[in-house]
Amino acid sequence: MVAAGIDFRLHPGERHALIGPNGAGKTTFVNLVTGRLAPSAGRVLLGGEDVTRRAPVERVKRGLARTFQINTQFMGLSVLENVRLAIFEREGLAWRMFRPAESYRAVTGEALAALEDLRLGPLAHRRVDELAYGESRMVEVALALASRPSVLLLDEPAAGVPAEGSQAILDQLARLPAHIAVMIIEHDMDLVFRFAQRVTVLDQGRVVATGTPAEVQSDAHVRAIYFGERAHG
Amino acid sequence: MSHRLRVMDVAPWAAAVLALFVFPRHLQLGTQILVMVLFVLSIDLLLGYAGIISLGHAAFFGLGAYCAGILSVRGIGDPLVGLAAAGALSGLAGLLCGLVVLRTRGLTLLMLTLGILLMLEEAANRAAWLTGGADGLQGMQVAPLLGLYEWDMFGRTAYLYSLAVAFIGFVFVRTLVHSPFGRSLAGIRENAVRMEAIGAPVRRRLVAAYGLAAMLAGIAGAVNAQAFQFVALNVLSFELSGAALIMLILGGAGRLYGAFIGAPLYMIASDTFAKLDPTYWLFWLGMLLIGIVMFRNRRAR
Repeated sequence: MVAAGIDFRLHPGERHALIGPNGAGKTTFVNLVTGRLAPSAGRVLLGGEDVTRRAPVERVKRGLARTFQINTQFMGLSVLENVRLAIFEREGLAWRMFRPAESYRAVTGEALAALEDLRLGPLAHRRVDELAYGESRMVEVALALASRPSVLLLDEPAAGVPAEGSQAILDQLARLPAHIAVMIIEHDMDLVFRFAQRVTVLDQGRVVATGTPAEVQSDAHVRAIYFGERAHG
Repeated sequence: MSHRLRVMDVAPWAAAVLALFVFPRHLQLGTQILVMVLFVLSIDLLLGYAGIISLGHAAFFGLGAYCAGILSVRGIGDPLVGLAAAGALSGLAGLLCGLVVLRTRGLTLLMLTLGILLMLEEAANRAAWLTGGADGLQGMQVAPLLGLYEWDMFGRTAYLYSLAVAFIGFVFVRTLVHSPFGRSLAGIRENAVRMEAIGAPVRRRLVAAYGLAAMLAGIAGAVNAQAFQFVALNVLSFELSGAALIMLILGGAGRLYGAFIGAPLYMIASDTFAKLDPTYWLFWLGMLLIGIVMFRNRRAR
């Protein structure tokens, strides 16, 4: 059992962090929500609609986007082409066969503007596999944002990024559109407590605590999980 | 990858037109090469751009060849009608096969494509009343091209016809790979998981690519049948699929011009070795392939 009894709610515009030790089931939870894994029981509701049986693609069309823990981009393509692919899909243009992709100037313009917003503009024409790791983590975010989601799930956006890069990522996350509900999985507690309004703690596939960062930080059960301290009843 | 026209895009066609005047006695070989260029281009679309490896793509080549051939035997000899029918039939077959085989991956996919080819080959062999079986389809009556150009014994009309069709096929594929659809195939080839995460219906997109590649292969087969007015059973052979794959690998997959390098290189080498050493020509062909691949690997390092 990798996830059980998880009753998780993400409200419009909320900044929510999902934390827990390795193997707690955080990424599994994201895979269940996005449809990469099918739950054996329970429901996934998106904007009130039951999307439990909907394919991942259909959930994306309904405003759900995610990033991946490990860089999962189109490494041999430029940063601009990466984002342009996402915009073509969103706009329903990806089935067009008789005009060059570059001729869709509005798409290219939007992609460049999106990259500028994330301070990736100068890297637009660089191949993703030529970027520094921290830069490529932001391309992950750019790809997800290009779908214009109402719900954004960020799986360890700062994973493997040095401290100064992590700060840059946090700065960008702070500038995400206010209407998007954002859930972030992170091990960087500094980033979590500066970013999140609410925090949920998972352990062995179950929710052990939910609350504000301060509430979670002082929760005895959470302290036991992270610091091995005994909970005193 | 820019969509702008480059010298490299135009040069092979200029060379093909020049060959008409420089090698007037080799137009039959030239026609065979152009047919294979189109067939290999269809495999490049499948493998080089969509990332789908198939051992059975000759199934569609053969389907197109028999379609055009049988139509002309039965009195529908207009080559353009035969061409359109072959493309439609092969395209439809490609879509239906794609719906099945693209549920699988890797070795399973490979074996399924091969299985389909083998079944079709045996079906054509058994249906001798329709296809001529092992003797081949004979009695084709292909009408003059556009009602004006007779099929001459020197192969000039056949050469120009195959050149025109191959050129149109190339323009189609080139347009396709630079389009949003083509770029999405590149995305799927690079990272299918990510494409799904940005909302791409990956399998549907691949099925469409499979159908388009099958259509092109069918058209190549039809041209082959019409140009030589005969359809042999080997249009449905694994050897043909394998040879076309080798041509693409020789020329380079995913670059469009791979077909223009690989097909002529392989066919001219085969033809030359067969003339020089009829007994052991395959040995020399194998040596050439090994040499080219090892040279290229060394350069890549």
